[in-house]
Amino acid sequence: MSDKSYTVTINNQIFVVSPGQSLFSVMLENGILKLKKNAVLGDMRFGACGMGTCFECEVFIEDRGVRRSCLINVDTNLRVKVGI
Amino acid sequence: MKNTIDVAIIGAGVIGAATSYELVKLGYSVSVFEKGAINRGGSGSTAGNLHIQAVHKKRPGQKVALDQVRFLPLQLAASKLWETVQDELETDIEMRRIGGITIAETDDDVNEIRNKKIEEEKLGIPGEILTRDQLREFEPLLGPTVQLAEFCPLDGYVNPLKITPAWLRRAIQKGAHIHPFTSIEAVIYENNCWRLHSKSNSWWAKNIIFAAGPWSADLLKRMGIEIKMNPVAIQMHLTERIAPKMKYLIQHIGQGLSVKQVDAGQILIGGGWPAKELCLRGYSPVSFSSVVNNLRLAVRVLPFLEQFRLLRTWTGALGATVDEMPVIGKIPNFNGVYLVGGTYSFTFAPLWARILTQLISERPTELSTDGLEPDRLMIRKQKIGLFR
Amino acid sequence: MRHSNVLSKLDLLNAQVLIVGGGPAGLAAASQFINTECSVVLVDENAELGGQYYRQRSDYIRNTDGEFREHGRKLIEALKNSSILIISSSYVFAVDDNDKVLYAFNEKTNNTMRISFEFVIIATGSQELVLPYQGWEIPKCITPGMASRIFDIDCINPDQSIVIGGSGPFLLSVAAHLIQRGVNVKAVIEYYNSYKFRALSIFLLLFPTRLIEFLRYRLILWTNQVPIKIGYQIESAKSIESGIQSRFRSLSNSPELEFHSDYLAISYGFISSLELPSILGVDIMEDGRNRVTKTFLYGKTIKNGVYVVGEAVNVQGWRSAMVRGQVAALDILHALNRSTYKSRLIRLRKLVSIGYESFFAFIRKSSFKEQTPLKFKVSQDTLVCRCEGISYKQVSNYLDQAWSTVSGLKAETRVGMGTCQGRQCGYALSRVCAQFGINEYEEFFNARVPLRPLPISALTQIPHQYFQMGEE
Repeated sequence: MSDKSYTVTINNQIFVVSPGQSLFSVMLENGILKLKKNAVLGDMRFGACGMGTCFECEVFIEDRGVRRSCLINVDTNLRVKVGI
Repeated sequence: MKNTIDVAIIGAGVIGAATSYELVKLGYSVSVFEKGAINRGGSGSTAGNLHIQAVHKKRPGQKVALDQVRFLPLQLAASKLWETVQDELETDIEMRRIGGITIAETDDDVNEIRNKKIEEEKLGIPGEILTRDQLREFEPLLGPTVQLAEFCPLDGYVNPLKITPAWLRRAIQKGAHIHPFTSIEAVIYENNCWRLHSKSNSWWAKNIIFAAGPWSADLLKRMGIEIKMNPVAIQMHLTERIAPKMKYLIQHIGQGLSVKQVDAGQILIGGGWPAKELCLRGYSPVSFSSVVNNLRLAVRVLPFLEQFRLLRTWTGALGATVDEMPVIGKIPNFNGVYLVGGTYSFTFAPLWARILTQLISERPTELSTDGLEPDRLMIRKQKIGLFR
Repeated sequence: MRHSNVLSKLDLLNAQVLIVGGGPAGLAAASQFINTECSVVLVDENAELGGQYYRQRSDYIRNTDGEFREHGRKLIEALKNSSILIISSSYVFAVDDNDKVLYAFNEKTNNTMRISFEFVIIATGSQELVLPYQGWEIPKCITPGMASRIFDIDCINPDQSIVIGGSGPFLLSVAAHLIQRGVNVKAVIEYYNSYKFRALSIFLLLFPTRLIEFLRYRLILWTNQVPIKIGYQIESAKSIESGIQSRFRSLSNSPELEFHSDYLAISYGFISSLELPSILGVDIMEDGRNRVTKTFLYGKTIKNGVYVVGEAVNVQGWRSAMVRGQVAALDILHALNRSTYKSRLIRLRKLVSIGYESFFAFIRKSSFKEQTPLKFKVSQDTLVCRCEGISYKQVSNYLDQAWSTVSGLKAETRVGMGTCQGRQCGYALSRVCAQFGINEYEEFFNARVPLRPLPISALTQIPHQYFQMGEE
């Protein structure tokens, strides 16, 4: 197994992540549960379906845009903004 | 005849709804027949714009230009009527008279704006020409290709998903009847009265108003009335919700573009781009070309749009006429049969409703409808039809 | 912000066969084309192939926790080593006006792709069905599928508790897996009594592997003392200090159940994902509560060259999905004159397999019959539409109209107009309408282009020559 790892910066907090790890699980394991602010009610959502149909796990990824975090595996350094 | 309705209206779109209300206010007994669910035709799919300054003459692909000048007095009259609609209906229909900017990119566009401004002034329609410099402050969202624009404070919009049900509800409250999922298959003249037949039922009516957009022609044909129509399906595009950014309705004088931000925060982009094809028996499919064309144009005029996401597109079928002018009036030689429709019906709805009421009650119409009668669209004249 | 006239980012692809979806059906279909010299492109929305059933663990986790469903891994490896072009993190969003070109967007590179094809196999699978309940929008109120994903695949710390509820055979399978991971499954709460054997159930003996699987799950729950409660429906979820307090109401008159757990996972089976077949003009028909694609032999549809396979055709499980994928691919090979006597024989044998699978689905459905449709009963402030924040109270204000339909209700309440475009609430709205008996024309939300919220830049970066009608 290679010692390769990536850094994922989430709202300025830095995490070291092994390759292929799902972005969603990085946030889940680190207690980052406030992923997306609901446009109408303003409450924070986390994601319910785990497969890309609910759109509530969306976060902003630099150089990409707003993305569903449940569909992303970390395979490069990422800078992420959540809770927006 | 027992239970003879005074007026049967075919079509529960915005015109049918507004007309049913105006008629029932005057004490007429009214029934509205709708083949499907209410408000699913052109007026239920439209942008909901209220156009008061002169409009863009040709949607993309439109062959015949509409008579922009003939439209103006109609638009002005409609504008005044819209002022009281929300209060009268006592419902929030999301009426927003925010003002509209019609932009010019090319020199031809600029000339058109200046010319239409002259015509508008003759009728007292307020408007202000804005130069590029003035626009930078007035609406900084506009892109660098915009040379000039005209601002009219009376332009605006209403939520098309709310206005039609609101009118229908009020009409029902005052005694109108609505029959959704009731397709009228045949209309026969019997005992000095019209008998409307659905698959399982029939009704008697003294007058019939055809307000069914592109679907009117088929039933009229079965009555022996042939109308030259040019129905078309066009599409709308919607972004996701964004923070409030746009203050005005933005339109283009020379190309198909209308953009505004609705109450919910979504940006609605239209312009009359054609759907892939017109399907009167089902849903007209969206054309990918039109999506790309409409959005590219929108981004050129309002560059800030490019960073957002498109959420949905849909189509609506319009009962455009062959000369692209509205149609309103009595069908000659047929007792009590009226036709109303054509494009921009959404803006004209309260005006058409009142004029139809005036025609039916044999009073002078509040505005001249010269040149807009069904006569001009008829292919051949028929005596009173006695056949299916 | 890019100016739209600058370099276009459009990838042009020509494929004889385009496969949309990298789950069991898509993988099985793609496998048939290995070493056939056909040009095949497989587009998948996820970062890695596998769909839901064959979702892949990361290398790191595989090294510590081993493989999960090895068969899937083998399929994926074989495909990656072949000449089949695999495009991940991408979704198809529109069909071109000429119907033989699909547009896709790559969420990793922000490129738009224009894919022309001779044949397309749609393997877009299914999604879990959730009915709203009070508090379902709270973080950690999830679906059993998501629970399986985070514990089985992402292998997060299993030292947590969960309550699993809803209906359907999936609940039992997820519960068993989680228990084996060491998760504290407090209970499995089922709406229907799925375990009452009827006369037809005797036919289950014809499917011994599955019967054993089922019994094994039951055994795992029993030995771990995880109760299965029948005849209850989730009523509410509340965020409390120690996690989630969930309440289940009884469908008979028993007292309600209450649990405290870290997670709450609720779903009522699966519904097919039909957006792509829908915009391609494929016929959709009702099949009980599910809408399914109308397919003919080998997965063909009314549209020439369009095949639909897997759970998008019928929710019958992964085995059925794989066979359908294989059969469609074999038929295409035949159409391309690349089939052999052997492959035609296999194609025939696979047809028999489909029959076998359909028979199993029929037996299972009949023996565990869901007698009454799911009742939708929620409190006034339950969110019906999560995206637009619309409560049941707001919806019920419009239920008294003589003319209401699902679409009409949507128009007046905004339910289904948010980011997920009705994926979470569409079914619920239909159920509400049906329960109120206000009209006989129950409709489901119609899919429209774009099939996902699409950055407008994905469209403005397409060069002019690719959209026929010029501006005036």
